[in-house]
Amino acid sequence: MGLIENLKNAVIDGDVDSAARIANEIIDRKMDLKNAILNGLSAGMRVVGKKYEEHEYFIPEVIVSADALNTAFNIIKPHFKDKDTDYKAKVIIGVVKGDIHEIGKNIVAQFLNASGYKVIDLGRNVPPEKFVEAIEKYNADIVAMSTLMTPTLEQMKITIEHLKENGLRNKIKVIIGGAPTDQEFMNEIGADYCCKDANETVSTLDSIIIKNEVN
Amino acid sequence: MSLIEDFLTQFGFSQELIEGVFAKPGATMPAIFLAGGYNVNEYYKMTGVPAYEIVRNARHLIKSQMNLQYKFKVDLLTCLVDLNIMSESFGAKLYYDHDVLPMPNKPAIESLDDIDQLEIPDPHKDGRMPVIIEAAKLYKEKYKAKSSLIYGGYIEGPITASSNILGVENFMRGLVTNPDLIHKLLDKVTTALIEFGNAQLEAGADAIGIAEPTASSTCISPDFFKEFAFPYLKKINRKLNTPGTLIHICGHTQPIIKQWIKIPNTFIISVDEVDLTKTLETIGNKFIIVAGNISPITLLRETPETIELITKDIINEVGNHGKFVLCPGCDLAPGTPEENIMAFLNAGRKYGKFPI
Ligand SMILES: [Zn+2]
Repeated sequence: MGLIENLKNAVIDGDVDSAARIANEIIDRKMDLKNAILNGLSAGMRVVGKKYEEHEYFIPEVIVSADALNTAFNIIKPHFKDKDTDYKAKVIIGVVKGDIHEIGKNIVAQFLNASGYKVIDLGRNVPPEKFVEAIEKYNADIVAMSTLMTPTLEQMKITIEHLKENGLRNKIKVIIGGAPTDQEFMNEIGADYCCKDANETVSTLDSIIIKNEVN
Repeated sequence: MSLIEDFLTQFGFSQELIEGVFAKPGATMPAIFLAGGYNVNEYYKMTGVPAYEIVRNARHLIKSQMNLQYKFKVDLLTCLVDLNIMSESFGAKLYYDHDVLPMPNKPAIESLDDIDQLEIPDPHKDGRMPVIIEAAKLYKEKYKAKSSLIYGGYIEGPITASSNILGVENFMRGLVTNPDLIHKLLDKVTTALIEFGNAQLEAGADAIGIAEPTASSTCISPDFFKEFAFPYLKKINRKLNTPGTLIHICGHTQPIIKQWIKIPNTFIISVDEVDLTKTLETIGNKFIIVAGNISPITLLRETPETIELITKDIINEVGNHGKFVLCPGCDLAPGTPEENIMAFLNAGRKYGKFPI
Protein backbone atom coordinates (compact mmCIF):
# COMPACT_ATOMS: atom_id res chain seq x y z
CA MET A 1 0.00 0.00 0.00
CA GLY A 2 3.03 2.25 0.54
CA LEU A 3 3.60 3.25 -3.08
CA ILE A 4 -0.09 3.72 -3.83
CA GLU A 5 -0.43 5.93 -0.77
CA ASN A 6 2.64 7.89 -1.90
CA LEU A 7 1.15 8.32 -5.36
CA LYS A 8 -2.03 9.63 -3.80
CA ASN A 9 -0.01 12.08 -1.72
CA ALA A 10 2.01 13.23 -4.75
CA VAL A 11 -1.29 14.14 -6.43
CA ILE A 12 -2.56 15.92 -3.33
CA ASP A 13 0.70 17.88 -3.03
CA GLY A 14 0.83 18.63 -6.76
CA ASP A 15 4.31 17.09 -6.86
CA VAL A 16 4.79 16.27 -10.54
CA ASP A 17 8.31 14.81 -10.16
CA SER A 18 7.35 12.44 -7.36
CA ALA A 19 4.20 11.39 -9.21
CA ALA A 20 6.29 10.45 -12.27
CA ARG A 21 8.89 8.63 -10.20
CA ILE A 22 6.28 6.63 -8.27
CA ALA A 23 4.29 5.80 -11.42
CA ASN A 24 7.43 4.37 -13.04
CA GLU A 25 8.23 2.39 -9.92
CA ILE A 26 4.71 0.96 -9.86
CA ILE A 27 5.20 -0.23 -13.42
CA ASP A 28 8.67 -1.66 -12.74
CA ARG A 29 7.28 -3.63 -9.84
CA LYS A 30 4.40 -4.86 -12.01
CA MET A 31 1.86 -3.73 -9.47
CA ASP A 32 -1.90 -3.70 -10.08
CA LEU A 33 -2.40 -0.65 -12.29
CA LYS A 34 -6.14 -0.44 -11.84
CA ASN A 35 -5.54 -0.21 -8.11
CA ALA A 36 -2.93 2.50 -8.71
CA ILE A 37 -5.39 4.55 -10.77
CA LEU A 38 -8.34 4.12 -8.44
CA ASN A 39 -6.70 4.20 -5.02
CA GLY A 40 -3.75 6.37 -5.95
CA LEU A 41 -4.64 8.91 -8.61
CA SER A 42 -8.39 9.02 -8.32
CA ALA A 43 -8.39 8.94 -4.53
CA GLY A 44 -5.80 11.74 -4.47
CA MET A 45 -7.85 13.87 -6.80
CA ARG A 46 -10.92 13.35 -4.61
CA VAL A 47 -9.01 14.78 -1.66
CA VAL A 48 -7.94 17.72 -3.84
CA GLY A 49 -11.56 18.29 -4.84
CA LYS A 50 -12.59 18.26 -1.21
CA LYS A 51 -9.87 20.73 -0.26
CA TYR A 52 -11.06 23.00 -3.08
CA GLU A 53 -14.62 22.77 -1.84
CA GLU A 54 -13.49 23.71 1.66
CA HIS A 55 -11.46 26.71 0.37
CA GLU A 56 -8.21 25.17 1.47
CA TYR A 57 -7.11 24.78 -2.15
CA PHE A 58 -7.70 27.29 -4.93
CA ILE A 59 -7.25 27.13 -8.70
CA PRO A 60 -3.40 27.17 -8.70
CA GLU A 61 -3.17 24.26 -6.24
CA VAL A 62 -5.80 22.27 -8.16
CA ILE A 63 -3.91 22.83 -11.43
CA VAL A 64 -0.60 21.51 -10.11
CA SER A 65 -2.41 18.53 -8.58
CA ALA A 66 -4.03 17.86 -11.95
CA ASP A 67 -0.54 18.14 -13.52
CA ALA A 68 0.75 15.46 -11.14
CA LEU A 69 -2.29 13.30 -11.89
CA ASN A 70 -1.86 13.68 -15.65
CA THR A 71 1.85 12.95 -15.57
CA ALA A 72 1.37 9.73 -13.63
CA PHE A 73 -1.70 8.76 -15.65
CA ASN A 74 0.16 9.15 -18.94
CA ILE A 75 2.99 6.97 -17.66
CA ILE A 76 0.61 4.26 -16.47
CA LYS A 77 -1.89 4.33 -19.37
CA PRO A 78 0.20 2.59 -22.06
CA HIS A 79 0.79 -0.33 -19.69
CA PHE A 80 -2.85 -0.67 -18.88
CA LYS A 81 -3.89 -3.79 -20.76
CA ASP A 82 -7.66 -3.39 -20.57
CA LYS A 83 -9.59 -3.24 -23.81
CA ASP A 84 -10.73 0.06 -25.23
CA THR A 85 -14.29 -0.87 -24.32
CA ASP A 86 -13.44 -1.19 -20.66
CA TYR A 87 -14.59 2.19 -19.47
CA LYS A 88 -17.65 3.27 -17.55
CA ALA A 89 -19.11 5.52 -20.26
CA LYS A 90 -18.15 7.86 -23.09
CA VAL A 91 -18.33 11.52 -22.24
CA ILE A 92 -18.23 14.42 -24.68
CA ILE A 93 -17.06 17.55 -22.88
CA GLY A 94 -16.64 21.16 -23.95
CA VAL A 95 -16.97 24.85 -23.09
CA VAL A 96 -19.93 26.32 -24.98
CA LYS A 97 -19.72 28.77 -27.86
CA GLY A 98 -18.66 32.28 -26.93
CA ASP A 99 -16.65 31.26 -23.87
CA ILE A 100 -12.97 30.38 -23.66
CA HIS A 101 -12.61 29.71 -19.93
CA GLU A 102 -11.57 26.09 -19.89
CA ILE A 103 -9.60 25.50 -16.70
CA GLY A 104 -12.65 24.13 -14.89
CA LYS A 105 -13.58 21.96 -17.85
CA ASN A 106 -10.01 20.62 -18.13
CA ILE A 107 -10.00 19.64 -14.49
CA VAL A 108 -13.35 17.88 -14.81
CA ALA A 109 -12.04 16.04 -17.88
CA GLN A 110 -8.94 14.90 -15.98
CA PHE A 111 -11.02 13.73 -13.01
CA LEU A 112 -13.31 11.76 -15.31
CA ASN A 113 -10.35 10.27 -17.14
CA ALA A 114 -8.74 9.10 -13.95
CA SER A 115 -12.07 7.73 -12.73
CA GLY A 116 -12.50 5.34 -15.62
CA TYR A 117 -14.44 7.36 -18.18
CA LYS A 118 -13.52 7.77 -21.82
CA VAL A 119 -13.44 11.50 -22.34
CA ILE A 120 -13.63 13.25 -25.69
CA ASP A 121 -12.64 16.84 -25.08
CA LEU A 122 -13.91 19.31 -27.70
CA GLY A 123 -12.04 22.22 -26.10
CA ARG A 124 -13.48 25.71 -25.78
CA ASN A 125 -15.79 27.94 -27.79
CA VAL A 126 -17.66 24.83 -29.04
CA PRO A 127 -20.71 25.55 -31.25
CA PRO A 128 -23.86 23.38 -30.83
CA GLU A 129 -23.27 21.62 -34.18
CA LYS A 130 -19.88 20.41 -32.95
CA PHE A 131 -21.46 18.82 -29.89
CA VAL A 132 -24.04 17.07 -32.08
CA GLU A 133 -21.40 15.91 -34.52
CA ALA A 134 -19.19 14.48 -31.78
CA ILE A 135 -22.07 12.72 -30.00
CA GLU A 136 -23.00 10.98 -33.24
CA LYS A 137 -19.43 10.20 -34.23
CA TYR A 138 -18.41 8.68 -30.90
CA ASN A 139 -21.82 7.30 -29.98
CA ALA A 140 -21.42 9.03 -26.62
CA ASP A 141 -23.45 8.36 -23.49
CA ILE A 142 -23.03 11.69 -21.80
CA VAL A 143 -22.46 15.27 -22.88
CA ALA A 144 -20.99 17.76 -20.41
CA MET A 145 -21.12 21.50 -21.14
CA SER A 146 -19.64 24.32 -19.13
CA THR A 147 -19.39 28.08 -19.09
CA LEU A 148 -17.95 30.58 -16.64
CA MET A 149 -19.87 33.53 -17.99
CA THR A 150 -23.49 34.64 -17.78
CA PRO A 151 -24.02 35.75 -21.41
CA THR A 152 -23.06 32.34 -22.76
CA LEU A 153 -25.59 30.45 -20.61
CA GLU A 154 -27.98 30.79 -23.52
CA GLN A 155 -25.68 28.56 -25.61
CA MET A 156 -26.44 25.60 -23.33
CA LYS A 157 -30.13 25.96 -24.11
CA ILE A 158 -29.40 26.26 -27.83
CA THR A 159 -27.20 23.16 -27.74
CA ILE A 160 -29.96 21.15 -26.06
CA GLU A 161 -32.38 22.33 -28.75
CA HIS A 162 -29.90 21.09 -31.36
CA LEU A 163 -29.81 17.70 -29.62
CA LYS A 164 -33.60 17.53 -29.81
CA GLU A 165 -33.69 18.51 -33.47
CA ASN A 166 -31.20 15.77 -34.25
CA GLY A 167 -33.11 13.13 -32.30
CA LEU A 168 -30.32 12.73 -29.76
CA ARG A 169 -31.83 14.17 -26.62
CA ASN A 170 -33.35 10.91 -25.34
CA LYS A 171 -30.22 8.92 -26.05
CA ILE A 172 -27.89 10.99 -23.95
CA LYS A 173 -27.56 12.48 -20.47
CA VAL A 174 -26.84 16.20 -20.42
CA ILE A 175 -24.69 17.59 -17.64
CA ILE A 176 -24.01 21.29 -17.20
CA GLY A 177 -21.55 23.10 -14.97
CA GLY A 178 -19.71 26.37 -14.37
CA ALA A 179 -20.13 29.30 -11.99
CA PRO A 180 -23.44 30.76 -13.28
CA THR A 181 -25.27 27.41 -13.60
CA ASP A 182 -27.66 26.06 -10.98
CA GLN A 183 -30.52 23.56 -10.55
CA GLU A 184 -33.09 26.17 -11.51
CA PHE A 185 -31.33 26.94 -14.78
CA MET A 186 -30.87 23.20 -15.38
CA ASN A 187 -34.64 22.69 -15.12
CA GLU A 188 -35.32 25.72 -17.26
CA ILE A 189 -33.27 24.45 -20.18
CA GLY A 190 -34.08 20.76 -19.68
CA ALA A 191 -30.62 19.45 -18.79
CA ASP A 192 -30.36 16.33 -16.60
CA TYR A 193 -27.77 17.30 -14.04
CA CYS A 194 -25.93 20.38 -12.83
CA CYS A 195 -22.61 19.77 -11.10
CA LYS A 196 -20.68 22.35 -9.13
CA ASP A 197 -17.21 20.82 -9.38
CA ALA A 198 -15.16 17.89 -10.63
CA ASN A 199 -15.84 15.66 -7.61
CA GLU A 200 -19.56 16.13 -7.94
CA THR A 201 -19.39 15.40 -11.67
CA VAL A 202 -17.65 12.08 -11.06
CA SER A 203 -20.05 11.04 -8.29
CA THR A 204 -23.05 12.11 -10.37
CA LEU A 205 -21.89 10.12 -13.37
CA ASP A 206 -21.08 7.13 -11.16
CA SER A 207 -24.60 7.25 -9.75
CA ILE A 208 -26.07 7.32 -13.27
CA ILE A 209 -24.00 4.26 -14.15
CA ILE A 210 -25.13 2.45 -11.01
CA LYS A 211 -28.74 3.24 -11.81
CA ASN A 212 -27.99 1.81 -15.23
CA GLU A 213 -29.36 4.84 -16.93
CA VAL A 214 -26.75 4.59 -19.65
CA ASN A 215 -26.06 1.40 -21.53
CA MET B 1 -15.91 65.40 7.04
CA SER B 2 -15.24 68.46 4.94
CA LEU B 3 -11.82 67.07 4.02
CA ILE B 4 -13.49 63.99 2.64
CA GLU B 5 -16.06 66.12 0.84
CA ASP B 6 -13.21 68.05 -0.75
CA PHE B 7 -11.67 64.76 -1.71
CA LEU B 8 -14.88 63.59 -3.40
CA THR B 9 -15.40 66.94 -5.12
CA GLN B 10 -12.04 66.46 -6.81
CA PHE B 11 -13.52 63.52 -8.67
CA GLY B 12 -16.58 65.50 -9.69
CA PHE B 13 -18.97 64.18 -7.04
CA SER B 14 -22.02 66.44 -6.93
CA GLN B 15 -23.33 67.72 -3.60
CA GLU B 16 -26.30 65.39 -3.98
CA LEU B 17 -24.05 62.42 -4.50
CA ILE B 18 -21.88 63.32 -1.52
CA GLU B 19 -24.95 63.58 0.71
CA GLY B 20 -26.06 60.20 -0.59
CA VAL B 21 -22.68 58.69 0.21
CA PHE B 22 -22.89 60.08 3.75
CA ALA B 23 -26.51 58.94 4.23
CA LYS B 24 -27.66 62.49 5.05
CA PRO B 25 -31.39 62.79 5.82
CA GLY B 26 -33.28 63.66 2.67
CA ALA B 27 -30.61 62.26 0.36
CA THR B 28 -30.89 59.04 -1.63
CA MET B 29 -28.58 56.04 -1.70
CA PRO B 30 -26.56 56.48 -4.92
CA ALA B 31 -26.36 53.87 -7.64
CA ILE B 32 -23.44 53.23 -9.98
CA PHE B 33 -22.75 50.79 -12.78
CA LEU B 34 -19.99 48.66 -14.10
CA ALA B 35 -21.09 48.07 -17.63
CA GLY B 36 -19.01 47.20 -20.64
CA GLY B 37 -20.34 44.08 -22.31
CA TYR B 38 -23.91 45.29 -21.88
CA ASN B 39 -23.20 48.72 -23.37
CA VAL B 40 -21.39 47.38 -26.38
CA ASN B 41 -24.09 44.81 -27.09
CA GLU B 42 -26.90 47.40 -26.73
CA TYR B 43 -25.09 49.84 -29.00
CA TYR B 44 -24.62 47.10 -31.59
CA LYS B 45 -28.34 46.26 -31.48
CA MET B 46 -29.24 49.93 -31.76
CA THR B 47 -26.86 51.02 -34.52
CA GLY B 48 -25.73 47.84 -36.25
CA VAL B 49 -22.09 48.79 -35.65
CA PRO B 50 -20.42 45.46 -34.84
CA ALA B 51 -18.78 45.00 -31.44
CA TYR B 52 -15.34 44.49 -32.97
CA GLU B 53 -15.59 47.98 -34.42
CA ILE B 54 -17.05 49.62 -31.32
CA VAL B 55 -14.15 48.45 -29.17
CA ARG B 56 -11.62 49.75 -31.67
CA ASN B 57 -13.20 53.13 -32.25
CA ALA B 58 -13.23 55.76 -29.49
CA ARG B 59 -16.20 57.64 -30.93
CA HIS B 60 -18.42 54.55 -30.93
CA LEU B 61 -17.02 53.39 -27.62
CA ILE B 62 -17.78 56.58 -25.73
CA LYS B 63 -21.23 56.79 -27.34
CA SER B 64 -21.97 53.23 -26.26
CA GLN B 65 -20.96 54.16 -22.70
CA MET B 66 -22.86 57.44 -22.57
CA ASN B 67 -25.93 55.68 -23.89
CA LEU B 68 -26.29 53.94 -20.55
CA GLN B 69 -26.00 57.21 -18.71
CA TYR B 70 -28.72 58.82 -20.85
CA LYS B 71 -31.02 55.88 -20.51
CA PHE B 72 -30.68 55.23 -16.81
CA LYS B 73 -29.29 58.48 -15.38
CA VAL B 74 -26.57 56.84 -13.30
CA ASP B 75 -24.10 58.90 -11.31
CA LEU B 76 -20.84 57.19 -11.99
CA LEU B 77 -19.74 55.09 -14.87
CA THR B 78 -16.61 53.07 -15.28
CA CYS B 79 -15.74 52.74 -18.91
CA LEU B 80 -15.10 49.03 -18.65
CA VAL B 81 -14.62 47.25 -21.92
CA ASP B 82 -13.02 43.81 -21.89
CA LEU B 83 -10.14 42.65 -19.71
CA ASN B 84 -7.70 42.01 -22.52
CA ILE B 85 -6.52 45.54 -23.19
CA MET B 86 -3.11 45.09 -21.58
CA SER B 87 -2.52 41.52 -22.76
CA GLU B 88 -3.34 42.50 -26.35
CA SER B 89 -0.94 45.43 -26.08
CA PHE B 90 1.76 42.99 -24.97
CA GLY B 91 1.04 40.83 -28.02
CA ALA B 92 -1.78 38.45 -27.07
CA LYS B 93 -4.27 37.55 -29.81
CA LEU B 94 -8.01 37.88 -29.25
CA TYR B 95 -11.19 36.57 -30.80
CA TYR B 96 -13.30 39.46 -32.06
CA ASP B 97 -17.02 38.92 -32.52
CA HIS B 98 -19.88 41.04 -33.85
CA ASP B 99 -22.09 41.18 -30.78
CA VAL B 100 -19.91 40.53 -27.73
CA LEU B 101 -16.65 41.80 -26.24
CA PRO B 102 -13.40 40.28 -27.50
CA MET B 103 -12.08 37.18 -25.74
CA PRO B 104 -8.57 35.77 -25.25
CA ASN B 105 -7.39 33.50 -28.03
CA LYS B 106 -3.61 33.17 -27.78
CA PRO B 107 -1.50 34.53 -24.91
CA ALA B 108 1.42 36.89 -25.56
CA ILE B 109 3.94 34.33 -24.30
CA GLU B 110 3.59 30.57 -23.98
CA SER B 111 6.03 30.11 -21.12
CA LEU B 112 7.48 31.99 -18.18
CA ASP B 113 10.91 31.54 -19.77
CA ASP B 114 9.88 34.04 -22.43
CA ILE B 115 9.32 36.94 -20.03
CA ASP B 116 12.40 38.76 -21.25
CA GLN B 117 10.85 38.93 -24.72
CA LEU B 118 8.03 41.08 -23.38
CA GLU B 119 8.44 44.75 -24.12
CA ILE B 120 6.52 47.34 -22.18
CA PRO B 121 3.92 48.69 -24.62
CA ASP B 122 3.37 52.35 -25.42
CA PRO B 123 -0.11 53.47 -24.26
CA HIS B 124 -0.36 55.89 -27.18
CA LYS B 125 0.53 53.31 -29.79
CA ASP B 126 -0.04 49.71 -28.87
CA GLY B 127 -3.16 47.56 -28.98
CA ARG B 128 -6.40 49.31 -28.12
CA MET B 129 -4.88 51.52 -25.42
CA PRO B 130 -5.03 54.56 -27.73
CA VAL B 131 -8.78 53.93 -28.20
CA ILE B 132 -9.46 53.90 -24.46
CA ILE B 133 -7.36 57.06 -24.00
CA GLU B 134 -9.14 58.76 -26.89
CA ALA B 135 -12.51 57.84 -25.34
CA ALA B 136 -11.50 59.63 -22.13
CA LYS B 137 -10.50 62.66 -24.20
CA LEU B 138 -13.82 62.67 -26.06
CA TYR B 139 -15.66 62.43 -22.75
CA LYS B 140 -13.86 65.52 -21.49
CA GLU B 141 -14.40 67.49 -24.69
CA LYS B 142 -17.98 66.57 -25.50
CA TYR B 143 -19.82 65.25 -22.49
CA LYS B 144 -18.22 66.40 -19.26
CA ALA B 145 -19.73 69.88 -19.15
CA LYS B 146 -23.19 68.57 -19.98
CA SER B 147 -23.39 65.82 -17.41
CA SER B 148 -23.00 65.26 -13.69
CA LEU B 149 -21.50 61.90 -14.47
CA ILE B 150 -18.18 60.80 -13.02
CA TYR B 151 -16.32 59.09 -15.79
CA GLY B 152 -13.88 56.41 -14.75
CA GLY B 153 -11.23 55.20 -17.11
CA TYR B 154 -10.00 51.75 -16.28
CA ILE B 155 -7.09 49.41 -16.20
CA GLU B 156 -6.95 45.72 -15.51
CA GLY B 157 -5.43 44.68 -12.24
CA PRO B 158 -1.90 43.21 -12.35
CA ILE B 159 -3.02 39.62 -11.75
CA THR B 160 -5.82 39.80 -14.32
CA ALA B 161 -3.60 41.42 -16.97
CA SER B 162 -0.62 39.13 -16.31
CA SER B 163 -2.75 35.99 -16.42
CA ASN B 164 -4.03 36.98 -19.85
CA ILE B 165 -0.48 37.73 -21.03
CA LEU B 166 0.80 34.30 -19.99
CA GLY B 167 -2.48 32.38 -20.34
CA VAL B 168 -4.55 31.83 -17.21
CA GLU B 169 -3.63 28.19 -16.71
CA ASN B 170 0.12 28.79 -17.04
CA PHE B 171 -0.13 31.80 -14.78
CA MET B 172 -1.96 29.85 -12.07
CA ARG B 173 0.58 27.03 -12.34
CA GLY B 174 3.44 29.52 -12.16
CA LEU B 175 2.16 30.97 -8.89
CA VAL B 176 2.99 27.60 -7.29
CA THR B 177 5.92 26.37 -9.35
CA ASN B 178 7.79 29.56 -10.24
CA PRO B 179 6.90 32.49 -7.99
CA ASP B 180 10.09 34.42 -8.79
CA LEU B 181 9.36 34.64 -12.49
CA ILE B 182 5.71 35.46 -11.76
CA HIS B 183 6.91 38.41 -9.67
CA LYS B 184 9.12 39.49 -12.55
CA LEU B 185 6.14 39.38 -14.90
CA LEU B 186 3.89 41.25 -12.45
CA ASP B 187 6.51 43.92 -12.03
CA LYS B 188 6.74 44.54 -15.75
CA VAL B 189 2.98 44.53 -16.23
CA THR B 190 2.50 46.90 -13.29
CA THR B 191 4.76 49.47 -14.93
CA ALA B 192 2.70 49.26 -18.12
CA LEU B 193 -0.60 49.54 -16.21
CA ILE B 194 0.55 52.67 -14.39
CA GLU B 195 1.53 54.35 -17.66
CA PHE B 196 -1.79 53.41 -19.24
CA GLY B 197 -3.83 54.63 -16.27
CA ASN B 198 -1.99 57.93 -16.12
CA ALA B 199 -2.48 58.45 -19.85
CA GLN B 200 -6.26 58.10 -19.37
CA LEU B 201 -6.23 60.56 -16.47
CA GLU B 202 -4.22 63.00 -18.50
CA ALA B 203 -6.66 62.66 -21.39
CA GLY B 204 -9.71 63.46 -19.26
CA ALA B 205 -10.91 60.55 -17.15
CA ASP B 206 -12.21 61.75 -13.76
CA ALA B 207 -11.04 58.63 -11.98
CA ILE B 208 -9.62 55.18 -12.58
CA GLY B 209 -11.26 51.85 -11.96
CA ILE B 210 -9.12 48.75 -11.58
CA ALA B 211 -10.70 45.44 -12.57
CA GLU B 212 -8.97 42.57 -10.80
CA PRO B 213 -11.35 39.56 -10.83
CA THR B 214 -8.56 37.01 -11.18
CA ALA B 215 -7.23 37.97 -7.74
CA SER B 216 -10.50 36.95 -6.04
CA SER B 217 -10.70 34.03 -3.65
CA THR B 218 -12.72 32.26 -6.32
CA CYS B 219 -9.41 31.95 -8.17
CA ILE B 220 -6.43 32.32 -5.80
CA SER B 221 -5.92 31.91 -2.07
CA PRO B 222 -5.91 34.88 0.31
CA ASP B 223 -2.20 34.11 0.91
CA PHE B 224 -1.48 34.45 -2.80
CA PHE B 225 -3.51 37.67 -2.86
CA LYS B 226 -1.24 39.02 -0.16
CA GLU B 227 1.93 37.90 -1.91
CA PHE B 228 1.13 38.49 -5.58
CA ALA B 229 -1.70 41.03 -5.83
CA PHE B 230 -1.35 43.36 -2.87
CA PRO B 231 2.17 44.77 -3.47
CA TYR B 232 1.45 45.57 -7.11
CA LEU B 233 -1.99 47.08 -6.48
CA LYS B 234 -0.32 49.20 -3.81
CA LYS B 235 2.32 50.36 -6.27
CA ILE B 236 -0.30 51.17 -8.90
CA ASN B 237 -2.41 53.20 -6.48
CA ARG B 238 0.66 55.10 -5.28
CA LYS B 239 1.89 55.90 -8.78
CA LEU B 240 -1.37 56.81 -10.49
CA ASN B 241 -1.85 60.58 -10.65
CA THR B 242 -5.15 60.50 -8.84
CA PRO B 243 -6.04 60.70 -5.15
CA GLY B 244 -7.85 57.37 -5.19
CA THR B 245 -9.13 54.47 -7.26
CA LEU B 246 -12.10 52.16 -7.48
CA ILE B 247 -11.04 48.53 -7.29
CA HIS B 248 -13.45 45.92 -8.59
CA ILE B 249 -12.95 42.31 -7.61
CA CYS B 250 -15.89 40.07 -8.38
CA GLY B 251 -16.44 36.52 -7.23
CA HIS B 252 -15.79 35.47 -3.64
CA THR B 253 -13.75 38.09 -1.73
CA GLN B 254 -14.72 37.92 1.94
CA PRO B 255 -11.35 36.45 3.00
CA ILE B 256 -9.39 39.25 1.32
CA ILE B 257 -11.40 42.32 2.37
CA LYS B 258 -8.95 43.08 5.19
CA GLN B 259 -5.99 43.08 2.79
CA TRP B 260 -7.90 44.85 0.05
CA ILE B 261 -8.80 47.86 2.17
CA LYS B 262 -5.16 48.23 3.23
CA ILE B 263 -4.20 49.09 -0.34
CA PRO B 264 -3.42 52.79 -0.04
CA ASN B 265 -5.60 55.28 -1.95
CA THR B 266 -8.44 52.85 -2.44
CA PHE B 267 -11.65 54.82 -2.14
CA ILE B 268 -14.30 52.55 -3.63
CA ILE B 269 -14.30 48.77 -3.42
CA SER B 270 -16.74 47.16 -5.83
CA VAL B 271 -17.75 43.83 -4.30
CA ASP B 272 -19.70 40.83 -5.49
CA GLU B 273 -20.17 37.75 -3.28
CA VAL B 274 -19.68 39.18 0.20
CA ASP B 275 -21.60 39.72 3.41
CA LEU B 276 -22.18 43.50 3.36
CA THR B 277 -22.61 43.85 7.12
CA LYS B 278 -19.32 42.09 7.80
CA THR B 279 -17.57 44.03 5.05
CA LEU B 280 -18.71 47.41 6.39
CA GLU B 281 -17.69 46.30 9.88
CA THR B 282 -14.21 45.37 8.66
CA ILE B 283 -13.82 48.78 7.04
CA GLY B 284 -14.90 50.50 10.25
CA ASN B 285 -13.91 54.16 10.36
CA LYS B 286 -11.77 54.13 7.23
CA PHE B 287 -13.09 56.26 4.41
CA ILE B 288 -13.75 53.59 1.82
CA ILE B 289 -17.03 53.38 -0.07
CA VAL B 290 -18.47 49.94 -0.67
CA ALA B 291 -20.27 49.43 -4.00
CA GLY B 292 -22.45 46.36 -4.20
CA ASN B 293 -23.77 43.85 -4.68
CA ILE B 294 -26.76 42.68 -6.68
CA SER B 295 -25.69 39.80 -8.90
CA PRO B 296 -25.64 40.45 -12.66
CA ILE B 297 -27.12 36.96 -13.04
CA THR B 298 -30.08 38.07 -10.92
CA LEU B 299 -30.43 41.17 -13.08
CA LEU B 300 -30.32 39.06 -16.22
CA ARG B 301 -32.67 36.28 -15.20
CA GLU B 302 -35.04 37.30 -12.42
CA THR B 303 -38.29 39.26 -12.65
CA PRO B 304 -38.50 43.00 -11.89
CA GLU B 305 -40.48 42.13 -8.72
CA THR B 306 -37.74 39.85 -7.38
CA ILE B 307 -35.07 42.40 -8.26
CA GLU B 308 -36.98 45.08 -6.37
CA LEU B 309 -37.13 42.82 -3.30
CA ILE B 310 -33.44 41.90 -3.46
CA THR B 311 -32.44 45.55 -3.86
CA LYS B 312 -34.69 46.48 -0.95
CA ASP B 313 -32.98 43.82 1.18
CA ILE B 314 -29.56 45.27 0.33
CA ILE B 315 -30.76 48.76 1.26
CA ASN B 316 -32.25 47.56 4.53
CA GLU B 317 -29.13 45.62 5.41
CA VAL B 318 -26.89 48.65 4.96
CA GLY B 319 -29.46 51.08 6.35
CA ASN B 320 -28.10 54.44 7.42
CA HIS B 321 -24.50 53.29 7.66
CA GLY B 322 -23.36 55.44 4.73
CA LYS B 323 -20.18 54.97 2.66
CA PHE B 324 -22.24 52.67 0.46
CA VAL B 325 -23.52 52.84 -3.10
CA LEU B 326 -25.74 50.38 -4.94
CA CYS B 327 -23.96 48.60 -7.78
CA PRO B 328 -24.18 45.28 -9.62
CA GLY B 329 -21.56 42.78 -8.42
CA CYS B 330 -19.93 42.81 -11.85
CA ASP B 331 -20.31 43.99 -15.43
CA LEU B 332 -23.97 43.97 -16.55
CA ALA B 333 -24.59 40.97 -18.80
CA PRO B 334 -25.46 41.67 -22.44
CA GLY B 335 -29.18 41.31 -22.99
CA THR B 336 -30.15 42.22 -19.40
CA PRO B 337 -33.79 43.34 -19.75
CA GLU B 338 -34.22 47.09 -19.45
CA GLU B 339 -37.16 46.67 -17.05
CA ASN B 340 -34.85 44.72 -14.72
CA ILE B 341 -32.26 47.48 -14.67
CA MET B 342 -35.06 49.98 -14.07
CA ALA B 343 -36.43 47.80 -11.24
CA PHE B 344 -33.01 47.91 -9.56
CA LEU B 345 -32.60 51.68 -9.97
CA ASN B 346 -36.21 52.45 -9.01
CA ALA B 347 -35.95 50.29 -5.90
CA GLY B 348 -32.93 52.38 -4.94
CA ARG B 349 -34.86 55.61 -5.44
CA LYS B 350 -37.96 54.23 -3.68
CA TYR B 351 -36.45 52.54 -0.61
CA GLY B 352 -33.10 54.30 -0.49
CA LYS B 353 -34.31 57.64 0.92
CA PHE B 354 -32.43 58.51 4.10
CA PRO B 355 -33.16 57.92 6.89
CA ILE B 356 -34.00 54.33 6.02
ZN1 LIG C 1 -16.38 41.56 -12.40
